[in-house]
Amino acid sequence: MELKIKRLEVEGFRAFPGKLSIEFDDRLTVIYGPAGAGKTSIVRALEFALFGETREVNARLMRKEDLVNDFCEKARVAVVLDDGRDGFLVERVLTKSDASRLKVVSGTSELYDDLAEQYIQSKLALLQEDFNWEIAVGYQELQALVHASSSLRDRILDGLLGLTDVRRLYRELSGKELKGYLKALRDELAKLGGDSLLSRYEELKTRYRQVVVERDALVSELEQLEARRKLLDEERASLQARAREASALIEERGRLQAFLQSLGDEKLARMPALDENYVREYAEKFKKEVSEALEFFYMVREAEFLKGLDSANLSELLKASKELMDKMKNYTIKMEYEIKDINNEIKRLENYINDLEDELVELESKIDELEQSKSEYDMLVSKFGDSANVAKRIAQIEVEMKALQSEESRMRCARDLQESMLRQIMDQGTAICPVCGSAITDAEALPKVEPVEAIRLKREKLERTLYDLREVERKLRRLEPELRLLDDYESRKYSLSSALDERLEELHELRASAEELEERLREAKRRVTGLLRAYEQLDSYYKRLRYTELQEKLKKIEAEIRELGYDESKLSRVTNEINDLDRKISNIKGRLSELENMERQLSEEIYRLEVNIENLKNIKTREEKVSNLYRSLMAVRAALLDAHVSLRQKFTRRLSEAASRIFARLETSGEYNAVDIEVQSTGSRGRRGHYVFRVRRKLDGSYVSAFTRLSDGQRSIMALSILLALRQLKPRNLNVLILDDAAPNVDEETKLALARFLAEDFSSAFQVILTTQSRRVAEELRSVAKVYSLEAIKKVPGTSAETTSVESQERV
Amino acid sequence: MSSGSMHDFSFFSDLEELLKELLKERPEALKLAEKLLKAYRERGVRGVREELKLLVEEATSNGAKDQEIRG
Repeated sequence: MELKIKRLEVEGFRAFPGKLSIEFDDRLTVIYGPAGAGKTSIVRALEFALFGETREVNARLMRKEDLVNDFCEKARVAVVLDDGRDGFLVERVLTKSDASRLKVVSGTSELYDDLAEQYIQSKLALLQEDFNWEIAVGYQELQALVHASSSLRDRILDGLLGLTDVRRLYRELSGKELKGYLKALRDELAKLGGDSLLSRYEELKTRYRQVVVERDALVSELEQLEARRKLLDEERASLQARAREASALIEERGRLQAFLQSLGDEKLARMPALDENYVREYAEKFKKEVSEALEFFYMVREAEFLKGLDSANLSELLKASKELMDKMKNYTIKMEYEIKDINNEIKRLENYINDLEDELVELESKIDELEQSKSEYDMLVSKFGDSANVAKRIAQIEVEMKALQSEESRMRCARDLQESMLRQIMDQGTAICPVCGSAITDAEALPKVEPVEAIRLKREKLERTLYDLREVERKLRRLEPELRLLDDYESRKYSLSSALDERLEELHELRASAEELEERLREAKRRVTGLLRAYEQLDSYYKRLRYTELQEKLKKIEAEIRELGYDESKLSRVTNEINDLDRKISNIKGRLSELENMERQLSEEIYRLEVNIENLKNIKTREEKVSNLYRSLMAVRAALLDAHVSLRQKFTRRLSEAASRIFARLETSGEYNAVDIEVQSTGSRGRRGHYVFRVRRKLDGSYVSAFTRLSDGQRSIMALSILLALRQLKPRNLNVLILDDAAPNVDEETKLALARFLAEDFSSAFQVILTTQSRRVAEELRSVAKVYSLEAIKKVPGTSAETTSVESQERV
Repeated sequence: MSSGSMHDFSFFSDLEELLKELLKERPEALKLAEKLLKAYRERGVRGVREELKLLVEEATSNGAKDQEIRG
């Protein structure tokens, strides 16, 4: 079935506010018009009608509201398709706000929306998301093919070559979900403990068996012990009944036993029996010794009291003598304190005496020193008299000294006068006496003047005497206080000597007293020690006598108890055995409780482990299955990738050959003559590789990169060649090729070459619809095609030219 | 599909043949590939997803349900 487009009806769509209807030629239809005449709107209307809005919006990045004319509320596009036998109409209505509505009319049937879409897809054998660039080719598609990024170009070419399915399949088989499952299962396995779970299970089972065996053994032992205890209980009850009957005797025996114990019965039992007479004599002697000791301690009244006691009553004697001996001990303690006080006093006195003696020694040494001063004083007094006499003598000498001084000065003056008069006489022959005024001419007449030297010597002698006397006076005055001090010291020495004598006498007395007291204390202690020994001996005799007596009594009571049929040792044995049994039973019950708990816990644990082991097995099985599935899936995925690469290579080889044939026709410069679409590997990360376009240079036959060597127009021609080749190689139910001014950037010659190629090679196999701005192309094809010329369109509704005028020109 | 054409929807045959060749050493993987390819051919991507879901369910459920106790 090869469908062709018979008619297109447009209203309110893009450039056309009014109605437009175009009938298409079976082979070649050319729509010619200037820019903005509505050529592309016609192509878009065809695409929209055939493929819906999805392609329009996604591939050309247009908003659906842009498909509706700006001055219209809705757009209607209808296409009539025909395969030569019958046909059907596809009508799409689009509003700016709502989704488009689709209607298909086939014969008398009408289908809408989804059903209609399915009908179209089945008729056209297209998937909704399929690439259909080889059916409707425009400048945008060519540019996208050449200038897209390598990944987008890969996607476009994979789509064009029909390999999108492989890509989709590969993407779907990522195994992410399976990997997640695997991880979850492995986590679960790890959580369950893996193989250690089994060893733990075996360990617990062994432990459980041990616990059960131990528990059974203990239960059996417990039964035996309880039976034995029951028997013993009965026996003890019988013995206790008899014990109640003999209770008074038992009580009495207990008291006796306690008393005997207090006497030290074990020790006493080992001693031989005593003669009572011997003990009585010993007691009498003891009493006498105590009485004498009491007298020694000046306790006459107590001694009399003791003497009055009966020696036969040992208990009373021992009690009284014990008290008195305590008193004596206290007395000795008092004596010790007294001696201590005296000794302290002696020590204090000795210290005092030592101090006195030291002071005396010091005093005597001082007195010795002062005695020398006294001798010196006495010697001075005997020589010069006492200090008063010396003072008197000093006063006399001082008077004499003064007289001598006057005499000496008088003599000096007389001698000076005489010498003066002599000089006058010698000089002048005469001298006038200054006293009497008489003239003296003879020197011999002058009176004799005693020489001054004699007076001076006398005076100096007196000076020395005075000096000595003053020295003596000074010494006497210095020694006088020392003499007074000497008197004081001697007086003090006398009083100290007296005190020392008194203290020495006192010390002597104290020492004598202390010695006497110590002697008495030693005697007292000796007596007390002796009495204590005697007391202990007597006490021991008393206890032994008492023990014998009480033993007799005890034997009697026990005989009476036995007569009543009470066997205490048996009761004790039974009681002890019962206690032992109780302890054992309690221990066993405790252990049994522990074992039961342990058994319960082990049982629960084992149950848990069994469940977990079962789960573990299940999970392991599942993990293995999932793992296998994952491995298979990854193998399939890898194979898909390899298959993708193989298919790419296979398809691009064929496509390159077909495209080269077309390219050689359209490339008018003659520079290049073949196209090669190569899949270039980009290393391990891009195993599929990338599509790369190359062209063969006519000059040397080498292939060069289309991206770097071709002009923009040449690249458009190359891309167009590829899409046209694809159209040839890829049969469709829709046997149409729509070219929307596909290569506007090429020269007129190339456009004409393309027009001729389409007319000659394509229109025989496909219904070709070509839009162009080139008048030359339209004119060139006028003879073989139905040519429509679009005038400038009135796009504003409500004008006189609301209905678009289309000039239909006849085929020549 | 005409003899000179690149392919039509029988492109799956090419793919199947390639996969057969590529997975001849892995029969279980080949079986899986055939299943998935069939599902894709018949029901598209949704078919593949459903088929994978079924396979995962088959692998993860072995009839015995896990018990709750984990210890």
